[in-house]
Amino acid sequence: MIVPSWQDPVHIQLASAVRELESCNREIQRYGLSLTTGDIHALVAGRRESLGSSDRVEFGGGVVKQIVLAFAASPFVSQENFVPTVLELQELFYDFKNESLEQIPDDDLITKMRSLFDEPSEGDLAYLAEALFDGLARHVREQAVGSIADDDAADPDADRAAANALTLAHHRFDVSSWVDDTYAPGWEGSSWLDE
Amino acid sequence: MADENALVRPDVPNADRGLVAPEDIAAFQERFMRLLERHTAIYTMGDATSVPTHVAADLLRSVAFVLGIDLERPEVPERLLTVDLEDEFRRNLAEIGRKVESSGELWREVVSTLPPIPSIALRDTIAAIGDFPRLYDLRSMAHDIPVVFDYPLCHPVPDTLFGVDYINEYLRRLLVEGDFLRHFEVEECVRVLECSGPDFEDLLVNLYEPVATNAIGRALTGEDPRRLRITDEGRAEIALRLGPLTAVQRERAMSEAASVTCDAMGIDEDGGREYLRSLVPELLPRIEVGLAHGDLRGVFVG
Repeated sequence: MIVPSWQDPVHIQLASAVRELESCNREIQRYGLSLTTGDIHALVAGRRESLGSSDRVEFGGGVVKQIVLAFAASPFVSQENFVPTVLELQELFYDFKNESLEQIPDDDLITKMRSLFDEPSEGDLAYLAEALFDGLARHVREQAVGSIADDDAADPDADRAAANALTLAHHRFDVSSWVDDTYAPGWEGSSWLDE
Repeated sequence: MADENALVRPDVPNADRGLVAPEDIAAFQERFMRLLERHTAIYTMGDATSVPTHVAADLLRSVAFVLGIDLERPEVPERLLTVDLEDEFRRNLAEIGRKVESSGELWREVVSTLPPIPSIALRDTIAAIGDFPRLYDLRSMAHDIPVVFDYPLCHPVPDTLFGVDYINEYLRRLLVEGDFLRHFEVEECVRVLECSGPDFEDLLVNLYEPVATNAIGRALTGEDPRRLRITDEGRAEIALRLGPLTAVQRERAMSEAASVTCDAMGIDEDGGREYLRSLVPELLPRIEVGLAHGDLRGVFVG
């Protein structure tokens, strides 16, 4: 891959993240919150650090905008603690994505985090982390083990396809327009051994 | 006319095309990153904006494989600087789909034409390849080779090939080997293989190589290569012919014997002839050791 010295791929990602966060201010102002340029750079830098420590890669602006918008309305955030809170939530989010084996969609996880953050954590991030890792993670792992052991389970491919269709229809990426006929090969991917 | 498939290095002046502008490179990078972002979203079905690093690396390898980019090199095909990458990706993905259909045809031909020489490794490998289309995620992991190849070919597929390209080349080489083996009685092949190693059925050994080696050995001494038996007298004759020769002369003699073998089999297509001839350089060091010890039984078995 050609990497010109005056611009590298990370720059492209950072610029996208900054743009996304700048667009948040209009929304969060109604909760008495705002992000300065310094705040935005701190969040973007924190995002990069959290991704590195959790050994993950993220494209586009990332999930930080969703976290900002989801938690701005919480009664347990204020202008003083908003940026540090979002930084910790971001780190918790990526760590939990690893811990839950990618089983929980981003939107669902953020919704759950917000719910637990308000109650019972009441803004206590350590309590929130405990609730997430002890509770949900165990549940997700048990589900994963149970689905492997259950011989009478419904066809996982069909279930997945149905869930995917719903997700694709509603998710902000709207990937349905990309997954068209030209992506679908002529064969159906079945084993030649079945012939 | 510039070769659109030529590789471009922006830092190296090109007499025909001139320097590639840094802004063109940056624009390509941005388009490539966007493509990678979309395909990550497709892989996660829109459920996640981030993936573990190892997954991202695999997605990168897959996209690069589909676009024909070698990640080991700093250049990209010049064509990619100007085309719509999404369109190019879709076109190439459709081509990969066609290659998978070819894989199916090759696999069926292997199954129907391989001689019935017992080999657990070969049987298991063919079965594993039969499952390839079910396991192959060409949309997201096109570079992947989701098959375990227990059976070793006489000439292994280069590790520069990936995905369906690797599968197809493996099957082609298996067909070449099977086609050669079909020219002999199964019992003769089994006898040679047993002489080569009594547990050959259970071991990860190539069936073609010992048979081909004996055939070449017989051709070398003017014997009919379609019979495989080489006696002590035969080995002595081989030693007499090869012993006095220089390394270059030996290689020439063995290559000629390989050609004679192909002529006797009626193997006139380039693939089979070249495949057999390619065995010669591998045999020469073993022949040299055998000659030095006065014993060629380790090369030309009974």
